Amino acid sequence: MAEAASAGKPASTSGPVPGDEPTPGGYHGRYLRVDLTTGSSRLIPLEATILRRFIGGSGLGTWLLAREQPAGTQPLAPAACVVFAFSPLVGTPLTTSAKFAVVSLSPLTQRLNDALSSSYFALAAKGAGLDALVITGACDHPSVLIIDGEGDQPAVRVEPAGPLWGLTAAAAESGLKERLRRPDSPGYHTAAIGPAGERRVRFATLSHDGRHAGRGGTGAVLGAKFLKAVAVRGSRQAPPAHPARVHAAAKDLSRRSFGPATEKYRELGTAANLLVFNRLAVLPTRNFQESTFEDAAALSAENLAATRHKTRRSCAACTIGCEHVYGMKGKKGGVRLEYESLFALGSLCGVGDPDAVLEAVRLCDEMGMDTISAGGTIAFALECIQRGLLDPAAPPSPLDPAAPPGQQMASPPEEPARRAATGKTSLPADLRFGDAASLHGMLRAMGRREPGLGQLLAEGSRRMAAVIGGEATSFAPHVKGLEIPGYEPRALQAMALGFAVGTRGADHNRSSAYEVDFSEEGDRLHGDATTAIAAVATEDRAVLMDSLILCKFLRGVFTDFYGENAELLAAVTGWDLTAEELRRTAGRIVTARRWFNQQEGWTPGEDTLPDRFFDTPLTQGASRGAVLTRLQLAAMKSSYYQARGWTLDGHVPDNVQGAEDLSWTRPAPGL
Amino acid sequence: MSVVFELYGPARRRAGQAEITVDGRTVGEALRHLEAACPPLAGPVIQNGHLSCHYRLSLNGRRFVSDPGHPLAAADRLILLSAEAGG
Repeated sequence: MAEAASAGKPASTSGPVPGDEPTPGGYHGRYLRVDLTTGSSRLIPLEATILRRFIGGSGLGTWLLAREQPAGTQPLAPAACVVFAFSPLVGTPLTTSAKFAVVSLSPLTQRLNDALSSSYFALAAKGAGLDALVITGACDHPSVLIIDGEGDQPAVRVEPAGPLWGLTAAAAESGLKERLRRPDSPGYHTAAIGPAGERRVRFATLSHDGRHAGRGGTGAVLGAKFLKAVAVRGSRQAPPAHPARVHAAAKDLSRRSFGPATEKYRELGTAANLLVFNRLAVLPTRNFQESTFEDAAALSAENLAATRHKTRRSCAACTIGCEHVYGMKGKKGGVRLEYESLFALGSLCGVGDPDAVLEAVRLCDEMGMDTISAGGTIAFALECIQRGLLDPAAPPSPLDPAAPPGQQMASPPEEPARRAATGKTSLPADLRFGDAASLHGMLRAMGRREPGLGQLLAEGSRRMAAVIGGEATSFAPHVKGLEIPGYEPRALQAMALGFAVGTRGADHNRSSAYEVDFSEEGDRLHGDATTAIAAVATEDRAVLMDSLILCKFLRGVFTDFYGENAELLAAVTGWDLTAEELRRTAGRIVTARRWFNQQEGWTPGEDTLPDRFFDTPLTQGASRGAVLTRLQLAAMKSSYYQARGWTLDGHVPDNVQGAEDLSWTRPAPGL
Repeated sequence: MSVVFELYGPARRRAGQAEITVDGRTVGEALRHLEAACPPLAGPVIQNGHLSCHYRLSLNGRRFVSDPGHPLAAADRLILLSAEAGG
């Protein structure tokens, strides 16, 4: 590791920020770049042209990562960057707008990753006068980053994490807030990694206020920098250009957010998916070996609500309130539960006891692990054991001397000593589907990177399959290394396309192509060119919401999606925006993300699904006979690429919008 | 001719039951009968025989239908679910 950050010493902050053009409403027109290696920081202006092209969140984060991180940088290397990107809507009264995107290269996929979260951290960072925060470099010991934005310029310092290292994210956040608390002084808001991030589990999350920037391993990137937490405070305003229009729009949007478009989320939450997915036979079960689950009724939101529901919560500045918290029988406290966690740690692992699934979710929250990747990796391991491909008592080592840098085992340097000190295993002797002790033991082992199977599980299903070898790669449930969410791709064929072409891998949220499958827009059992065109439209809408940033649960309230969002953004920024410009902006951001991946070595062969999902029909329920062929997926991909203006094999030409925007700003490798 | 509506999510909570059998030779006719048979669904879920844009109808779990004139067969099962599938 290079030069250490100066513990406890204020970092230098250059400023003030010049601007060639007037800063649009809702923006500060600058971002903060912190180098943990040197302890230095500086404010860097953001041009209005760039803000208009990439807006904020996922869009702006992509542009900033391209600007700050040379191609070929390994995700766990000190030179890797983590971008916290806010948006012009943060701090406005628009419902669900208190959000941020965390953008980096994923240690799981080696591709672009953006994970979104919400609540007061975004408000505090925007209040510190920042449109984004870029963290690069690495500390030489466990540290925390503190940004005090209450003055004219942000004061930045790096301090030892001390006893916070080793704590759960929630405990670390509480401890750090307490450490920074001063009487009669505004408090800090924090984001932190858990023990899994410290141990560089490749799907570790970044947490704050009990929510997670969940997918892709952001927590491991921060863990590799020895950065336990970020604390920020500030109350600076970025006034909207047209306050009265913003307030009127906010009032209207809030009113509509109480209506039928969000009823499902208010009443039952996303867990409502489980029962109907089971009815349609699209509920992944026992590592995608089946598409219905015999214990679906027990796991259903309807049953949980009747037997275990405790409370309903909201993010900051949200009027929907989709978070449903359930209690476990005989235990104190509650666990927030979403469909993806319920499927991944329930049906996918064959576990039908609600309390066992809730405990599994609690363990993931405690460790700071993405529930989808954790469940997917465990389900894969269980099938390997079931088939006799993996001996859990003597698993192959995840160390592969032939693997390129950054793809090798990601254990931190002190881990062997820590493991030797404990010398315990969390694993029961018999690991099998449907067994709660197996699930919980494997979660603990992976989160702690326990020797043997724990180390292997912490690498995710793709790397596990690579070392197990043979047929294991055919049923490892991932695309580009990211484990597949709870949508059976053989019977949801728009979603199959969305998974295959996704920038960050198998990802329902960035694609949203399930909207096509669950409507008359497409035929979920027979994907074709029409399906592909519709999937382009859902992906465009998704990336726009992730860049504005607004919660996707609002999408049903819009009757004129681009027109209404153009009005919202125009009211905040003062730009003369049209629906057509926003539509182009969405396409530009999708293309920019693909171009970024190209620079990281993406090849057309990555845009596919595991072999399991081809040519063999499903056998259960309403999806009986559903089959996805390679030819079908190839045809859909071809239509998708064509609609995006890319080459026939999915490459982005250098002269299209998105690629041009990034190509001029990206530093050359090695810089 | 009888067909069965299976209710999921908010529709089930409103109706207070998981299944309702009604008569209907077309989707529209079946929806009108469902609306009459289950008043809590009238308005937010079904309006004058038309399904709200916030709900979807799957015919036997295989394909989604919305055309009120779509013909039904005896013992068809109509799965009524929220249009918001994501999570």
